[in-house]
Amino acid sequence: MAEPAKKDVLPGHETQKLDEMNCPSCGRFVGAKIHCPYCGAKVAKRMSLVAVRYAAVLLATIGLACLWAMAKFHATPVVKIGDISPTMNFAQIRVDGTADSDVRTFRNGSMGFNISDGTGTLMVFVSQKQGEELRRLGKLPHAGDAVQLNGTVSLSDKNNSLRLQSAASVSVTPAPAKPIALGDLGEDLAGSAFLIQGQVTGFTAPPTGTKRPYSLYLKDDSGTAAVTFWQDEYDQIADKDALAEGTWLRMRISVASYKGKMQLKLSDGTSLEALAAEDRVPVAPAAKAAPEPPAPAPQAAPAPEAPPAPKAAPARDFSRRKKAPPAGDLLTPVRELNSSLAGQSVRIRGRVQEVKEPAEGSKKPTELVVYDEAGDRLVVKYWDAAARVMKEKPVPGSLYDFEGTVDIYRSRPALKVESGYKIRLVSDVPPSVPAVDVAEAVPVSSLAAAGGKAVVVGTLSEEAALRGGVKYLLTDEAGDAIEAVFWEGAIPRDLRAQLENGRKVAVRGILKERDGALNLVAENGYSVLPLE
Amino acid sequence: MSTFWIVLLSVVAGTVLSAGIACLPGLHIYNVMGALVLGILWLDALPEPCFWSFLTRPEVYVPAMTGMVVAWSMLNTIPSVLLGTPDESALFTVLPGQKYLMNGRGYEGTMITAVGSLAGAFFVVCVLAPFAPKYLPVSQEVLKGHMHWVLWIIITFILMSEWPKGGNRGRAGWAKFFDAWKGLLVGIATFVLSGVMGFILLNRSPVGHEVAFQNIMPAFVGLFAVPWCLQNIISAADVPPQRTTDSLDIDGDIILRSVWSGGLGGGFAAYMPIVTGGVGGLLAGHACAQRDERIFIMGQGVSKFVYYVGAFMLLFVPGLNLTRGGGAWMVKTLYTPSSTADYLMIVGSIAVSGAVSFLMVSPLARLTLKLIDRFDYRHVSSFALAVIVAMVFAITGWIGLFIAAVATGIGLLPVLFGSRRLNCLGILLLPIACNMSGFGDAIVGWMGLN
Repeated sequence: MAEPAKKDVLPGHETQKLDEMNCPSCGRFVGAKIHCPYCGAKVAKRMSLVAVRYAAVLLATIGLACLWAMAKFHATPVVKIGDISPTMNFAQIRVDGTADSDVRTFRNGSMGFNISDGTGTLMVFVSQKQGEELRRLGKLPHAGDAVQLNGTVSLSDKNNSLRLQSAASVSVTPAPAKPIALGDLGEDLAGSAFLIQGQVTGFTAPPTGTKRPYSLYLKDDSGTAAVTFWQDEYDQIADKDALAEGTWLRMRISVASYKGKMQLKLSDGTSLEALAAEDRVPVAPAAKAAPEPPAPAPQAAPAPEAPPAPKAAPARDFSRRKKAPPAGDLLTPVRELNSSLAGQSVRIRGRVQEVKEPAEGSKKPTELVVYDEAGDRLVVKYWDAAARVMKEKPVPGSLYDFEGTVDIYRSRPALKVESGYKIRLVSDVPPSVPAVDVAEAVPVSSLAAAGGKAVVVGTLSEEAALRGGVKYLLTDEAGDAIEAVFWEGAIPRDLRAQLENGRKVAVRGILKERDGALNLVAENGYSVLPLE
Repeated sequence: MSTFWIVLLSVVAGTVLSAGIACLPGLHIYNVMGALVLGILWLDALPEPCFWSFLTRPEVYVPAMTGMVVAWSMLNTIPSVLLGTPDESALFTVLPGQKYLMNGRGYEGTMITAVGSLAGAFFVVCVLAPFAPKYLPVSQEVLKGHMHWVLWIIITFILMSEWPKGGNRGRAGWAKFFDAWKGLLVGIATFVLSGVMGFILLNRSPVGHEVAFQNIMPAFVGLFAVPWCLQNIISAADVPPQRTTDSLDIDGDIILRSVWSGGLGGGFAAYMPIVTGGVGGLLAGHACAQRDERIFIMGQGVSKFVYYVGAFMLLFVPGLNLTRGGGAWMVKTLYTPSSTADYLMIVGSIAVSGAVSFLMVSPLARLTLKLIDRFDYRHVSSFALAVIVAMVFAITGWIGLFIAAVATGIGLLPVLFGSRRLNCLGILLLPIACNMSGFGDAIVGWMGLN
């Protein structure tokens, strides 16, 4: 068929083939019709754009509906923590495990707890709203509870975690809590929940304006213990008068361990109840001697052979060999800070003992007196620029990670922290084990030679100022006295403020000779326990 | 070999590798980086180190990935202008860029955009990098509680700033009204459908959990890459003969004004969560109101570079701890930056890679023009489509292909009805904005996905 002359082609139809307009059978002009009105033959046309448009709409809507149905009925896969690999970042998975810790509330209102399933451990993050929903549903897990939940995996080279998908997906089976005597509690029981009962010997509320926990001191026939809890649990306690000294209480607690020290946490404020004398159930302390050999099995009826316990897979090492050593390995002990590290970036972990704020308008840094686990002292400095991005500034008693550069001043190391984000709270829970164990107290008359350590319980008197400290005469119940020295750099400020004549205290210190007399020099940290 | 040389060679290697990938239309560097991450993890998991195990060292793959991001953000200009298949962040360069192409000045349009990218590199290295560690942590602390309402305002702006097209002819009444508002309604429908898809994929993705780090990739491919390839295959016009030139019709004033608008848009997109370069360019374009077409094209070069590279760099800013963009998320899976040395290494890598990339723009653009002369434009798009589909299938399987197909249906709506393709970003904007505002869970509950 001959191509039409150029002038016959309509604008915009240059590429349109002529046979789309003429009947392929009879050759007559048919225009836009798809069947020839003269002979009825079918006329092939280019596909209409409108058809493609509606096809796209159809594909989008029907496809989306199918995708929704597929997602709705797609069961979330149950994945072992140890099987989580880096390519699973952002995966929605279900984890079936045990809560390693109670739920902890962060400063921004969100919450978190650790979950483990025998193959590994993950931190679960719960948003503030989800946390409120869990609390309302009574699904806030406690240490030892069996937990199932759906979450989104969030992996990075160093921190792996799970973000809770919804409160509705959480299923919690409370761990059975058996009664235990206070004396039987130990850090080897970390991760377990127990029912304890004891008589209140003391109760301390946190200073106003801080987020430090409450501490409740208990005793029973077997020993003593300190239980900590936060404002949330305190608010749940119905009868707050029950916290008065001398009251017998029963409560559910969970045992945790940090750096070899036991921590007892109140699981739930509603579990705390005052006991009348007739309600107290004696709990016999377990024998703490050497473990007994297993009792011989009864001869008469041999027990059926138990199936072998499933062998737990080895805990997954997320460090992927060389790239991410465990957090502990990245920490530098304070005693290793020396001039060879000057100017280098290091990370240390320590408990803040004292905060020295600069004077108003001064450009000097804030100084923190920090003691690491080994008891070595370090001054950490940060300036106003770093402080501005801190939501909450470091407080005495809490444990932090500090990352900064080593500064050597007068041969003594200090740490200069440039950013507020480089000061991270590790724990604001003071060790549950009292800093001074009164049970170790010895009479003053038994103290003979310098060099040793001792705990003395006595009453303070005859206060005298020293350069950089204060000394008291510490008189024990037998009437024997020894000079007790408390250096400013060693004793936290809040504790120093409680020292006064007439105060009964327990002091843990080092025996030193001073001016020919034996002195008890209080150790660094919370080495003084006010008793009355 | 000292760390300096290892880093330098890695940057150059990453840049050269990415240069080849960047010239292929529709292939996004994040898809390639995803495959690279898989490879590194596989090498890392080998019981015995092999010859390629050196690739698992951070001083090798981190600079290489930096080079890949830098080179792609600069060299992807070539297919954007010459082959007409931009990624979402280059949407605005297409119309002016295609004008250049249809006037036989595609090379010049490419080079003007590349000069913008080079200016963006200077902006990142000389302006952003020195001040970021000091000011961004503070601004992040101030802004982080406000991100949700900023996102809602951006969403509102995207939807409201689209204008009615058509409705000029025909009979008055509903038909004319519908003709005018058709594009807007389809835009809103695209946004809502993408948002629904986002809710599904972010909360109960059918993609296997083993490759979940790429679970949004099929959707992005379907929303952006496939529709463009299809459009090119179906309707691409014949490209007129192209000419090259030794000079560009720009001056210092145009460069500075482009850096102002592009840096603002790209910087905003890099810093804000979920906001992409296209959205940043839209906002900055309205905010700066620069009228010159050359500023528009060059500004998009700046914006794209600052968006991709700036977002990647934020991961390494000391004291900031901010992860923005797919590239940063993938690197974070392998490596967590821990010191100022890392930051300096990244800034240096950006500078080196930026320089190498710019020097490669001209030869690669000339090579692409020769290929266009030799091969049919449609065949190149068909090849790119085949590569994209193969990649989606290789990583996510049939489920991924199904998701990409559904997303293609959504992604075709703006193409076929003449609304903005930015509306497809509802896939992230809508669910994340709802989540940040605290009612995402409720919507997921209504959809029965919790």
